[in-house]
Amino acid sequence: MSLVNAALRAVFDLVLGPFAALPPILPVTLVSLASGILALLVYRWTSNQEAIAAVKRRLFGHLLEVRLFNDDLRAVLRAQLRLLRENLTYLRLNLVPLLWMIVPFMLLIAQLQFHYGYDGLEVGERTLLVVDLAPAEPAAAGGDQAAPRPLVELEAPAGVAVETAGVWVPSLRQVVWRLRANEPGRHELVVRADGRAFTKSVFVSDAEGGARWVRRSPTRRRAAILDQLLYPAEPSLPRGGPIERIDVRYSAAAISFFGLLDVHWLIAFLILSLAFAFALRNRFGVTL
Amino acid sequence: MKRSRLATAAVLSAALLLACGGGGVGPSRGPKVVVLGFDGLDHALTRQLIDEGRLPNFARLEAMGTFAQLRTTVPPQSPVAWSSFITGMDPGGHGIFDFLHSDPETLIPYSSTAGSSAGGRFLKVGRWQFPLTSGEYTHFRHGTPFWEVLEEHGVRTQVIRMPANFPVSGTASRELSGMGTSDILGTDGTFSFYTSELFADREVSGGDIVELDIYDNVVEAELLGPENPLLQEPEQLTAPFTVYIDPEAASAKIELGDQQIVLQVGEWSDWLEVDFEMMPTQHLRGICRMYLRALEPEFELYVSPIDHDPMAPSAPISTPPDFAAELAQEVDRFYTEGMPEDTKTLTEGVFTPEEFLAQAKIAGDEVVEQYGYVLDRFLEEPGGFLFYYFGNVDLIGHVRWRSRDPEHPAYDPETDAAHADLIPTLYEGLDAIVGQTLDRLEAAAGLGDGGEDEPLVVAMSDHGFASWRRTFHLNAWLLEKGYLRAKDPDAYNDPDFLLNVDWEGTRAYGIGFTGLYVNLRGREREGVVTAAERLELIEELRTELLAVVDPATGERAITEVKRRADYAFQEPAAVGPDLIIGYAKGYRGSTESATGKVVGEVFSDNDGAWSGDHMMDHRVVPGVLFTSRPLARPAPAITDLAASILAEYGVEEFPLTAASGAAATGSP
Repeated sequence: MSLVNAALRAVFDLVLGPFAALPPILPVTLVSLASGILALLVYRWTSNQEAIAAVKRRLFGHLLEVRLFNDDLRAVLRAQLRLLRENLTYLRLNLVPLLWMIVPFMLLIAQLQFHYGYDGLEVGERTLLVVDLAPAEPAAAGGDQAAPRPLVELEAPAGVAVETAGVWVPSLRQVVWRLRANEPGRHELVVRADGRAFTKSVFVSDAEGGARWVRRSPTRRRAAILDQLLYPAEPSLPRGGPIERIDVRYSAAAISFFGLLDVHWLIAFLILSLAFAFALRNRFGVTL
Repeated sequence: MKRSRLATAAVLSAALLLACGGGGVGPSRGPKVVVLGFDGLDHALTRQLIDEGRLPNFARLEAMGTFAQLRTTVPPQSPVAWSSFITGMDPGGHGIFDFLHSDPETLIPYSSTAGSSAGGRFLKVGRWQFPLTSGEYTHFRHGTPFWEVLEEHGVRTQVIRMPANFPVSGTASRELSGMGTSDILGTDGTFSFYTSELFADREVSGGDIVELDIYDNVVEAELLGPENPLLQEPEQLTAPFTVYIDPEAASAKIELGDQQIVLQVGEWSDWLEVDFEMMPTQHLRGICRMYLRALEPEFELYVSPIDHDPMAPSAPISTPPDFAAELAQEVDRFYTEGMPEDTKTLTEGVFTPEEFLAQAKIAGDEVVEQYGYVLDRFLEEPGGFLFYYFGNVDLIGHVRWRSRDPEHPAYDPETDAAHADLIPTLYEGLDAIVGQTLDRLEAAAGLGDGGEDEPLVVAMSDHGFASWRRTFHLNAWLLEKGYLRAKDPDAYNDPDFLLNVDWEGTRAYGIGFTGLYVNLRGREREGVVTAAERLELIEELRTELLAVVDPATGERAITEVKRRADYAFQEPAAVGPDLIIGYAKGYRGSTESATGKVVGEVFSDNDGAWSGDHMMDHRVVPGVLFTSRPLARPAPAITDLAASILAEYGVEEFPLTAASGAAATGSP
């Protein structure tokens, strides 16, 4: 999974990189178009097109039945039951292409989320770096005594200032620092714990029109399968290490939907990819 | 085809105009006029600092045009004086006589400038009630704001932080309310102070002290909001927050909603959003700042009054309604309450002077930063009128004036001597504002070029300042003289709010800082003085008050007593006092008397932090008036200034009386 994520990061950085300083609706539209076409192709290859066409015809027939025999309650109820049954059949027929699509689309959405789902930091802005430590061994925890303060250190490059000492929260096994962004660009913080070093990337936007919509990683986590799928923006932390996760807080972003309103990128993506798929379905000879 | 293209072009042009905003159609007519309102800028001190060379930009403004005293109102109180500036009328016309008025029906003091009411009808479902009619804010000022007349004459106006203009009038192109704007609780600003100190919980004015416990270095507490208006049984809204303390790092992590911050001891937070859930789908939004005062030996956290969130205000604080959000987006969120400098923290002993000054600096810097944005936008448009208010000098002056007065009873050489130059330094800050304004207008609008429609810069204040050394307790004096009878003569049992007054034996009482009311039959709920006796009583009281001598100094304590009939404007509204007292320089009416306490000593030393004031004889605390060129219509008094500004645009009819809308005559 780590290799897949690394490859996907490289591909998406390469593909989306040229759009980093442009309005994000542009790459989201292009990706939606590609996604809509991909979805149509997968749908055509993996679905039973004849069966879907047949079930749609039957659905239409039962709808007519309801309309034509509306003075016959028994006939209407029978038609409603058939409508329900055909709907379930339609859903079943869609299940197969859906299963084919779910994994690639999850990977796609996870990658896009870290390009367009977060905003900031800007120069002068503050954020927190939160390090969650692994649960202490019972012996190290000292029984009922308060958890001893762990030796966790933070090193920051010149572009990021560490404004506070690490705040140790024993009840959460958490150390928190306040950071201040000083220079635009991608910076690597180093957290040292148990004699080992772990990096965490921080991205600072260039307010003067530089790259803004690039991959940001709000969290770096241990290598659990689900976390690797959901948080692919950075390599996972090693299993069995002293740190469970390292978080940098970015604000959530909204993108302008062609100047009409500001929406989460995923809303724009879903609307556009569905619209493209519907618009192109006849050209690709697909029955939806 | 051609016609269709023209129509399309017209529609597109109109859409472009709308998209560009601007608050009006077509260019604003007349010259650019900028009025800088500096609350409490004292004439004598300004003169002194100019002569010492410390205010080069005020000196520049004086050299360009004029610098003179600006006669203030009777009484010289901010809401009164600014209301006179707004309407061109004295208190007899606009009906604002004091910060506090007495309601003759209930005999309870109320804020003189504005009030609010909840929705009148509710749909009740279970424990919930849903308002069918919305609540509203009402301002009590009579008269027509001068900017309304300017707008009617084609001048686009921006009126930013005008005192006594909450709720906003809605008649300027852009408005932001100022002094008088409440916090989310509906008060002038109520801070919260969370402490682990045992028995610290006490009653303080303008704040809540909350005692709490710490378990395993974790504090669980709640921010306190207003009562939930959607519940039939009133219940206070709260927003929980958690503080994780790390004494070793002298820092704490604070979680409020989905926000997390880290503060070191002695640090202020940025603005935090506060979300009060009224019901699962209905929320009340506010903002606050936190200050981590100490972790050891006791945990101490100050939370500023929770203000309306300018991004989504729940009160009418701006025109257009999204102007506050525009300011917040372009600059930052900001204090929306009318008096953001939290003087109560100092007067109630919660903050040291340094801590208070740090808070006041945050509030003052916000106003200055916003001014830069507002001025930029103002200069982008042709013509127009801009008023912008700065209140920092007034509020800091109130609580730090004694640092300039070693004769003050509360002067402490150890703490006050260090701040001896504080007020002049604040004046220098205002001087920089003047310099910024002159420079920008010279560069962008031709200030000083002598051309037609040459811009005008006005810097003015509503009143001056003086040291407040001795306190006069009006109600105690009335009691001593037999005009007022107390139910309980024991001062410790006096509950304020006139609740200790035996109305049957009372002919006169005091409410507000300078107001004296006759207990008039037919007006007051339990009035005893007949209309026939009223005038005689007023004259008697006036004579006696003017003869009051402070036994400690041998000086007259009161040098001016004004009757309602002395005002040039006589509105029929039955509000405000019968007599207005002007104290001699160095004297002021007591806060206890102002809120209706009736027993105690008549004179006392002022030993509080609130050591400078202006609620005295108006002749000893004049304001200032600077203009970048002589005014076509001179303005010797604050009541004249609006008419002078209108005259710059060729509008001669002002003020307009509230009742008729017709031009009124005369200037007091």
